[in-house]
Amino acid sequence: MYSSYRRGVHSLLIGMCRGSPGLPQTVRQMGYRDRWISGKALGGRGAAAEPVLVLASTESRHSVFVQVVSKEEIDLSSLNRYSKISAVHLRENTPLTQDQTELYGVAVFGLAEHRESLRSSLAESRIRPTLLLRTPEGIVIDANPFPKVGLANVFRPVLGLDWGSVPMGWIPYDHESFPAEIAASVIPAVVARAAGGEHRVEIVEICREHPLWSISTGFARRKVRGEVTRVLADAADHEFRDFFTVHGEALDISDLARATVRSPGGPTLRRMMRCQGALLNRLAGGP
Amino acid sequence: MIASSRSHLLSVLESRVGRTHRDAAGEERRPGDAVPVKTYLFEGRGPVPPDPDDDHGPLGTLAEMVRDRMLRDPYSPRLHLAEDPDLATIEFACHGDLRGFVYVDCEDPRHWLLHTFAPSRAADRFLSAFAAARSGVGRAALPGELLEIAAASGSTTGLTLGHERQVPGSGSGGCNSDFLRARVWGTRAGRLLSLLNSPGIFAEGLALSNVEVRHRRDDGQGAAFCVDDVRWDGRIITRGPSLTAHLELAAELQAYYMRQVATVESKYAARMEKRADILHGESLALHLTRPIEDLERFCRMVFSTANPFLLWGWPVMRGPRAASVAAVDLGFGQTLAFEFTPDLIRVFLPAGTSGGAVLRFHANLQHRLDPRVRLLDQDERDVFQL
Repeated sequence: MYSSYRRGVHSLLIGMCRGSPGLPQTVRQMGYRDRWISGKALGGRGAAAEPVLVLASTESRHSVFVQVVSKEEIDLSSLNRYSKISAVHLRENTPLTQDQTELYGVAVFGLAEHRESLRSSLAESRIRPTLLLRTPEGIVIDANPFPKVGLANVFRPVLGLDWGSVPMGWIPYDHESFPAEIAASVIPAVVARAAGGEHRVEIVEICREHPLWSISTGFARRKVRGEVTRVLADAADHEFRDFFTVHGEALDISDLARATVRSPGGPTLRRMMRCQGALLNRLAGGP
Repeated sequence: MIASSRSHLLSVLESRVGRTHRDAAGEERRPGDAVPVKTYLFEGRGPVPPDPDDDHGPLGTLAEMVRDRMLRDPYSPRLHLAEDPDLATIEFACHGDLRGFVYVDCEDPRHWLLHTFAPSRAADRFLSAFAAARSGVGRAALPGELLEIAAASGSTTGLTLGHERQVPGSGSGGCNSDFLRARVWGTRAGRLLSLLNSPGIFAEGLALSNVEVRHRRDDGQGAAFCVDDVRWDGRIITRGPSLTAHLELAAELQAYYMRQVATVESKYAARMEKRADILHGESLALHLTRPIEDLERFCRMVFSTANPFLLWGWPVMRGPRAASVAAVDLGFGQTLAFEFTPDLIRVFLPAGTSGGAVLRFHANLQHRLDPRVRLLDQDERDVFQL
């Protein structure tokens, strides 16, 4: 598998807020825009302090906090934290405005195969989040529809989606991404550095290029850095052994790689590209 | 000839343009007179935004480039700095004992103008190696929209339509290819250009490769003019007689190019604004009028690492009708991401990647796939604000 469900949902919602072609335009037309707020502002710690995606609309005077769950059950503490938060707190501690926080709620995006267990989990929570489920056809509202009818109607009877063509490029990977998803993004970053003539690259420099890095917590940064290092070390041990090596937290680019990227169309550069194909295929569990 | 200063460069070029024009008018001919002055639009960029610690600037970059093996071995280049802090001459082995000269004007530290009167083939070969010698230095590509700007800056006296479409067909049917090359001269060439753009005419479209324009200097006098050939690969050849008019046209085109690059980077590059925790960057998509029949094979053609696309990346098929590619633009040595569907290509530009990469991809698509492809924002407005 190349893409995590979490990244798929985030990309879908960001795409709808930005009016990406091929997606319904209603969400954007209702004024919803994607915003990220630090989980710390919601009182979270550790993993729960991760940035939270919020769909916020001044026109609709409404905000939706997005929780994506790919497991059977949801961590109730990640939901219950919202019960302790007031509109005043949000206005004072996040970039959300008074208009955007007049009405706010939580939306849980889960998988249809976990429907019953998710319903049970939500019944125990202190809030009543909207439950949306991924089905083969797209996304449907399963429980507690959005109070804004226009927004709810986007998912009624089903938001039909070809998941393959949902725009995924806004967030290239996240700390829950599969190795293939991370490799697809970080190997080109190494190739770009080879093109720039660099000999040694600190892996954290590659991680810093991630658009959410600056608002991520230390916990998520460590996790991302660990995953990226693992993927690069794996590539260096196998498909990319002629092109770079990984030593601890740094990566050494070979003379061959630096020379190769300066010969567009050359056989070694094409081989390097096939190595990327083989790596992605292996990490995605292909034949 | 080495330019010692900007005024010296002007007089060198002026005399060359004068000789070319005399030659064209059938007057006395001397060896080499027929080689016209050429100006190339280049992007000689560092990181976006510029690195504040870069204390050696474009001339330092040039010094590093001439020492590079790719240039040093075949061309034995020498860099000569002028009195002006943003001007240099690169002398190179052109053909046998013959030396060529390229004058690099870095008045804008990122977008350079390179002038030469070396023979076209030698100049092109040298400048290809020059671009390859340094990541981040590359020729600007001018989409058809920018060529039309050039055409509108004067009266069009000629145009070339060049289109070479090679699109893998579905199944094992090989490539669907068609090509057309047509050159038209005359004072009514501009009228033909408008006709070609009319709806219903050539439904599949024809890509504009170059326009020959008679550009009049904007000085109110109206006397000085040049006849320039503006090509989509960023080369402007002047046949004189006015060097000033030529330089004015080149500067105008450079300004348009810079504006488009700046727009793409400021509005569409994805970046997080830390203070407000807002992810900036709007949707950027190329809308095709000729659908791609076989996405996988099309992607393999585009991401072959070779000219003209110069893109490295492995297409990940996300279904029969979708593919995504995290790519490297080998010209600029920077990353960007693409998502393909049969009739739409989304482009995701990370902060720090040149908007010139998007312009080049767009121009290449016009020539290789769909001359009527449009670069649109989320509200389906043209990104190029001309």
